[in-house]
Amino acid sequence: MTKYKLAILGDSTTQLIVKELDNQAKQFNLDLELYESSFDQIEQEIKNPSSNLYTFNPDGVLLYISVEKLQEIYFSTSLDIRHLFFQDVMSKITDLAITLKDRLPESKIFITNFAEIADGVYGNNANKYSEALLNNIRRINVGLMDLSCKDSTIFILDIALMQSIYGRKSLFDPRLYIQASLVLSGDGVTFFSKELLNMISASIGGAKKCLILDLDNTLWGGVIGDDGIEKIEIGSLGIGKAFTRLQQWAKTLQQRGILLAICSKNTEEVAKTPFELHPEMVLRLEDISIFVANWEDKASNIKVIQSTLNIGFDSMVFIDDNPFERALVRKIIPQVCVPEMPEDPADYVEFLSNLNLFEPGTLSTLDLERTKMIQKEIERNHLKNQFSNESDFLKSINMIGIFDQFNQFNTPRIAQLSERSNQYNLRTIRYSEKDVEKIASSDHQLGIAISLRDNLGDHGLICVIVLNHGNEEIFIENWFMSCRVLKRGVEYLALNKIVEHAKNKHYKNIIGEFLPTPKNALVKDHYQELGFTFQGNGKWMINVEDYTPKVHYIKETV
Amino acid sequence: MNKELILEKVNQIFRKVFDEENIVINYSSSAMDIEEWDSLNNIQIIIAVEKEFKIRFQSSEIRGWNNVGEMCDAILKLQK
Repeated sequence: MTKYKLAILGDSTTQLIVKELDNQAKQFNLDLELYESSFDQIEQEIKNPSSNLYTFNPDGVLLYISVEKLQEIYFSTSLDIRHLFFQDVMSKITDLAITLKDRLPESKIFITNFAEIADGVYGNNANKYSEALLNNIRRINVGLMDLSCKDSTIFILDIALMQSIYGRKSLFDPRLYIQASLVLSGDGVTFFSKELLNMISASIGGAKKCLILDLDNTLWGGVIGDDGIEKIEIGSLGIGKAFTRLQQWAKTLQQRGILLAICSKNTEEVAKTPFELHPEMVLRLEDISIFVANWEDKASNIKVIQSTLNIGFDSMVFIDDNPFERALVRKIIPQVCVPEMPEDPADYVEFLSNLNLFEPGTLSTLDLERTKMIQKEIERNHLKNQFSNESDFLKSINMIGIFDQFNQFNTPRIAQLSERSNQYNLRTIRYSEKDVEKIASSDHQLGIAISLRDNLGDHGLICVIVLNHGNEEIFIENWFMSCRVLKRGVEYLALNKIVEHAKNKHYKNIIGEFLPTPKNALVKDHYQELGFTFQGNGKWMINVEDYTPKVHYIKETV
Repeated sequence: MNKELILEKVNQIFRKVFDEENIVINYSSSAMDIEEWDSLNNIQIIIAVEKEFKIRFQSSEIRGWNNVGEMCDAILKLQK
């Protein structure tokens, strides 16, 4: 927890803000000490060198002049000088800011800008008449922007932006203003406090520095290993625009100095191809500080990213469409910020930008060159993988595996999975719906379909195995699986089942075969890892009698 | 929802706003009985009550209640 002394100077009732800041401070790892000026005493507090404000000696000062108060002053300004109203306001605020800076040279100054008000007097033509209130408000907001651009210790808390996100109706409650001089509604107080703490935390170095991105269905639609470069959705294909927008957002962050890291369950070369070859990719390899694509669990890989970049876990944001990966990372590395992503990729950018996770403190040229520096550093150091113990997590999510034979209900899904699986596919035999029906009714073949669900959701049918009953042995004609459920123990569950079946049928041996394709290198050691022995000629064998059932954490139902 | 149930929910809101687990209110409780019940806490109670019951009071109502019972009556009326 960082100690921080914040003074609040407002011309409206600010007690609710104080209370809410207190509530939220912990989430930002801040130990806040608050000073609240008496009601509407902004000028007196700042001008009087021996005021309580200066005795308090804050690290930050919030100067909250409300648009409602501004409107009252505007009403009392005579018509012939209303077109100069903004100048008066700006010079007053600038004067206050300069005095504050002078007397509190070490502290940061947060000034609120002004929410736009539709006053129903000039309407759209407020743009045309310089005496209109809205016309003045906008000029003041530009003035504040200029003030902040020129001075590294002055920050603008953007109420105008907040209002464009949440709308005036949800931020302002006229009843509360009339009853209690509150210029923010209940929700308004919550949003306001969050934004203020965000800025404070960023200004003292709590800013996020790194965005870790998943690839499949996060940076593009589809699965690169299965769909291939020509079929992933990015740019003009399918809902590719949603992913293009996310990439553009990430790219702008990168240009602002945020490090981008890739953390994906993929074969590295395959995962890199879109970055190298796809014409519509916005992100390229040179934008990525560190590219981690393998089949290890993501928490371990994030640890690798962390130690390579040498930044704190609390300065990292991890984005992944898969609830399993999010939950795993949250559980194992709770300091990493893991936003709960919307289901629909079309919502990604709005959702993420509204979270405002990357509030910068002060930018330096160092920030802007960080990606290149890091890339060079990585070239020098080789990555060492660190593995975290996943089994506790796997136990905790209550996985349930459901076995089915091929039937009329799962036939379409089996055919579809067969068509789409390229990576986890041992012999890459494709089965049409007709083929599936044939297996279902065959005497010497058995089709096994496995579905998986857990606390995090229903994954549906994710694994298919076709067994041929030979004279001497059982031959695994094909075994394919969705990559989304890798490393969950589904293969152990499946093999236990196959062996059990072989035993019942009095077979002694089971034979498996791996037929390499350009896309299935992922499973080249599949049978070896499961304890089969190599027979030559691509064939692997396991003995049913000697078999010890594999340990996994999936509960089985039929 | 009947008045007793409303009172129960309002009581929970009081506990949250005053950050006091043991507060027990009844229909005749008023600002006189509860020391911390000032105008600002009153606003917080109103914000929370409106959110809980999905209702909106008139400005004039907000100041007019003499005790918790009258507030519960107002909630009951707006719920219909």
